[in-house]
Amino acid sequence: MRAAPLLGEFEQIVLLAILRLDDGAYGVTIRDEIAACTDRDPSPGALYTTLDRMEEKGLVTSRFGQPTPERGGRAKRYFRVTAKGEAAVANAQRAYQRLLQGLTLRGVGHA
Amino acid sequence: MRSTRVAEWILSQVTSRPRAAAVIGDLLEKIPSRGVLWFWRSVATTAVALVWRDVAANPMRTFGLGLTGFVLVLALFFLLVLFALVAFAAVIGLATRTGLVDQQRLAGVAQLVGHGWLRPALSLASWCVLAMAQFQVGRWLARRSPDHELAPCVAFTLVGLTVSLALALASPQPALQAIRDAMSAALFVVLDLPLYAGAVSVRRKRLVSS
Repeated sequence: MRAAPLLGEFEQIVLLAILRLDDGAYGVTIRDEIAACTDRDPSPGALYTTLDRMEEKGLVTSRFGQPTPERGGRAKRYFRVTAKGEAAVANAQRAYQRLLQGLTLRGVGHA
Repeated sequence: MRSTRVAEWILSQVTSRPRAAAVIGDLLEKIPSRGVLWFWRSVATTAVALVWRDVAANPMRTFGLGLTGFVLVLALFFLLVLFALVAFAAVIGLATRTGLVDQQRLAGVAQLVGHGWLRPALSLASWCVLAMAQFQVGRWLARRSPDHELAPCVAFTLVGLTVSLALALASPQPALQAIRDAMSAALFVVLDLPLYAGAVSVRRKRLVSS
């Protein structure tokens, strides 16, 4: 079995945000979720290039929803994390947890 | 809203139409809280990020194409100027041989070229020739980079800027002249517009036919 692809920090953040949003993950909600959880306000350019790149890698898939009037009749592009994407983010999180084992960080409940 | 159609058109030059529409829809949702200035800044940064992604996806090939395009524009420009000079010389030669123009009048024309209104007219004509060469090379580059038509044009601009800045820095000259040269290098970006127009025309044709 091939090892899960390595992820950058922002890729992990985006994948986790999509997983949290489940069926409602599109550009606006992903950005809002990232802002709410990380206090970061990612630029739209960084977000869309990351999403495109992850789709090319097979980590996420996208589909277009119905056009809505508040968007000027434009459809939303919904994202879902694939099994490969989930494996990659789980792999990255396991690596973080191994690195954190035995460490006590201020502000973190239990490392 | 007409301006959102313009924004969508800009993004559709660097990504597929449905994706461009979805991005503009996302940005439109945020206009009430973020404002119009934020909308346009986001359109610009997204377009730059998407085109840079295309450049970075295959940098060797993209910059190779950009460099080839740069050499082609120079070659095409000098060929067209040479052709114009040969044609002009042939017309003058024919006119003097057949007696249509005498030597005295010819000297008057030569004076006009040197000092009169003909000089700016000739430089305008040479800019037009350069624009034509850039347009054709823009089309040539776009045909060699389907789906990423603007990426080699960006590489072309970067190659042109690097060459201009290197020439400006290499020549021993006062600081003011160096600044002037740097500004003319910046102007180079604006003058690349025909190149981008050529690439956009190829992309539009491809999108219409697909």
